[in-house]
Amino acid sequence: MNNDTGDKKLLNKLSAELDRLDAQYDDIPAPSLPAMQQFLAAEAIRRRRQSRRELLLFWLAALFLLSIVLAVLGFAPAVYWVLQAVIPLAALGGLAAVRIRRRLEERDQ
Amino acid sequence: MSEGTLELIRQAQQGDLSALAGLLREHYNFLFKYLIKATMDPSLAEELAQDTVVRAMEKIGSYNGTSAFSSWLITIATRLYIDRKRRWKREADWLRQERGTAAIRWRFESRNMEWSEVLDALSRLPLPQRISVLLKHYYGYSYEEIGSIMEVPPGTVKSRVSAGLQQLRKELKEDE
Repeated sequence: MNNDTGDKKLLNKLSAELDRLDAQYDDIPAPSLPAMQQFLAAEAIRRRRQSRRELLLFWLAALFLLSIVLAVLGFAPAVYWVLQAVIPLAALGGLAAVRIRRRLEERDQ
Repeated sequence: MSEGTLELIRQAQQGDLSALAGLLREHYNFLFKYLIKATMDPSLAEELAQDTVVRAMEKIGSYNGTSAFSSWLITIATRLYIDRKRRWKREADWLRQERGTAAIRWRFESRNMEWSEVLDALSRLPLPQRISVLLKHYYGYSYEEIGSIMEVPPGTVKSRVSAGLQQLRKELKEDE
């Protein structure tokens, strides 16, 4: 019962202080409509350029990798099959490491 | 959601950039104020608000209207903030947090208002606890909704809220 009253008091105080914090930023205006439109238009152009560049890079990298794979398959088939096994294993290991690191970070926090 | 907002959403989803600009402008102050409270750092809040606007522009087609538009923006902003924090080194993160809180404290003091020990304690909570407490007890979201915003199970949210409140209680008692 006492704990409940304490919790309620704390939550009321927290809400009141957050309202006070909000009020500190009441006078900050939102960007004007033309400014927002300009920002979005510039961002749309930047994104289009970036995705074109990324697509080009993707095709270049894909062509490069494909030519290497075909060359290895033609000249050293054993190396090709070893790589086929090692690469997925390395990817899975990497994913597991990221997952473990995130869990540890969350536990730390 | 008002009919006007729904209409703006429909137009924005059809590629109307000025409808999208109007929609985002309408929600900008709400988003910025949420980010101030979540980050306790005005300059970071501004950066994240801009990033959220850009991400919302990219994803507007996938907004399905099951939650309020403001909740959708909160989800995007929260995930961007969590992602960004993950990339920061711990020391830089601490320094940035200190600078952010100092900026807010300065704003209070420059208007001859007393700085709040509750806000100070809130700014020291770890990020997952601070956001969970804020969304639960200030914005009134359910544990399930917060779980979906932060991409964790509702049980985890519940324990973060409880740990956050316990920490706040402890710090405020120590200050008394």
